[in-house]
Amino acid sequence: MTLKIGIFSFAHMHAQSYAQSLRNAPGAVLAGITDPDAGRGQAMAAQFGTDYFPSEVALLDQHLDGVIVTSENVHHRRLVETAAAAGVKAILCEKPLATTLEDARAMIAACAAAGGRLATAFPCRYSPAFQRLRQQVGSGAVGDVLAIRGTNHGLMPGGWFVDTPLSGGGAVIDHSVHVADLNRLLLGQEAAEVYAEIGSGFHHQPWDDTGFLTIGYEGGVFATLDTSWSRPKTYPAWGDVTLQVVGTGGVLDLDMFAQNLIHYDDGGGRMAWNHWGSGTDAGLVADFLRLASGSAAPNLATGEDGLRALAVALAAYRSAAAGEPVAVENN
Amino acid sequence: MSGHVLRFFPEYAAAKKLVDAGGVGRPAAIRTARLAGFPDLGPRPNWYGDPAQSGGLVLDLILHDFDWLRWTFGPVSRVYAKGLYGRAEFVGRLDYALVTLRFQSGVVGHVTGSWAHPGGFRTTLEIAGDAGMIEHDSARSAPLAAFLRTSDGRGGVAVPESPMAPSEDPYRLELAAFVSALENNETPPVTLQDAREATRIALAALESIETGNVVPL
Repeated sequence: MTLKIGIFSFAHMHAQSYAQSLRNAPGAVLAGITDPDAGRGQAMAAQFGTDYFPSEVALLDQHLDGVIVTSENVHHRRLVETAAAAGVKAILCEKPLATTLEDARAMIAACAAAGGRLATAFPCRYSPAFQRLRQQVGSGAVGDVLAIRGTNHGLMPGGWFVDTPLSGGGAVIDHSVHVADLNRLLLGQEAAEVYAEIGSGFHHQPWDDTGFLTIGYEGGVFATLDTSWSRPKTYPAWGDVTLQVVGTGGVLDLDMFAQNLIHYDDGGGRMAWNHWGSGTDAGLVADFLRLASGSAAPNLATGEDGLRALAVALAAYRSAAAGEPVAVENN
Repeated sequence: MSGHVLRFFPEYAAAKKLVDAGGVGRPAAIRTARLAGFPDLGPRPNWYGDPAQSGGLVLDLILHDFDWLRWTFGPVSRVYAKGLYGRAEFVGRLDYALVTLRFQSGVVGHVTGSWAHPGGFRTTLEIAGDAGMIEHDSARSAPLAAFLRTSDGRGGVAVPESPMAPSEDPYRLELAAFVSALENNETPPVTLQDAREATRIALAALESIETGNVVPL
């Protein structure tokens, strides 16, 4: 049986990578695309060899086995609820899961009520280097974990990512969910408390481009996370994901995207890192297809996982507003 | 004069010079790290292991970063920190701290201090601003490395070195600045007021670690 997957909106650039992964995956077909920007949707449909549909309802008439939601953040709830209500059994939502905890909880509840399974797109889980790190931490290679220093730096993405009614915030909501999720996997513990220093010193706009979170975990482990869009235009890559895991028996340092050639390019007028490491999206999409086929996909982040990571990001905004550490809403 | 020798280390002096010249535009986010194993004094009594004598790495080690940061980016308005200081099970063998600083200018700083890294000593520095970024990593700028076979024919530990011309040795520069101030009856380049301010930041970090609160300065 070939799994029929639809994509709702190409507003988020990751949609292109997911579409390509679907094309490459055996046993699945990209059954169609819908996008409120018809020109973009039609262009993407042509690029990925599928059909464009003028509405979600029209695409859902194709009896989809799965839907991928890659819209602006604020639309995640409506689109996930639409797919769930139509009886779609597997829905993959781009991160952050939503812009409020209320929306995230509603999405989880809507999928549960309709018998659908909700997944959150956390591709960093599929990094082979992270999986090796997780295995090492799990086997006690550094003893008991005491602290984790994380970064998820990036270039400022522009577009709707800095239109906060659509995005829900700047760098903090865009980036902190990735490492919040990775830390949770490594520790098996929930974030209890967050303190954050947030700023806008790079672009001098009303939205945040600087975010330094300090996260306290239930078991006493502490972590910091720099989520800033701090990479200059001349940086040789889009950004980074790094984790320094400090334990009683030593330290593990992860630089997730270090597998690069250094390319000195006279034609482009700059130096660039040419990544040759394994991509993460193919593994994510393969796991989502397992979910869509009705199989177990234990590594795939659930809606609940997406909610927990979002709670850390939203706690950071609350902390910065209050000027003190705040409890993470974990209920 | 206080012995804040980091100001005389060529990479830190050069970074400040570049920042002052507008090399990153307006600074926005700064990260520094000082990573080492737990100090080993051999047969001598190890006072580093006694928090009452050393203040742990926050007061002993990353005080250097606090001074350099304040010198380069101005006064700090508040401090929040987490660390192993005060946890009895780690006294004398392990310390690690992550300190977040907010400067009066709005700049955010993050300092990593480690006495939890077995083997070697490493410093890193990243200064990101609205028109550029500076990176330094001691592990990537050592001009000499030795890979020596041990007598049993197996590999030893690689030992990197970063030698400077004798006239530019940071400790020599520090002493020369002190002597020059004395000879010319001038205020030394690192004043006791500077030392006091750096110490206030470190003590605020320790207070934050102990209380879990943000500490305003």
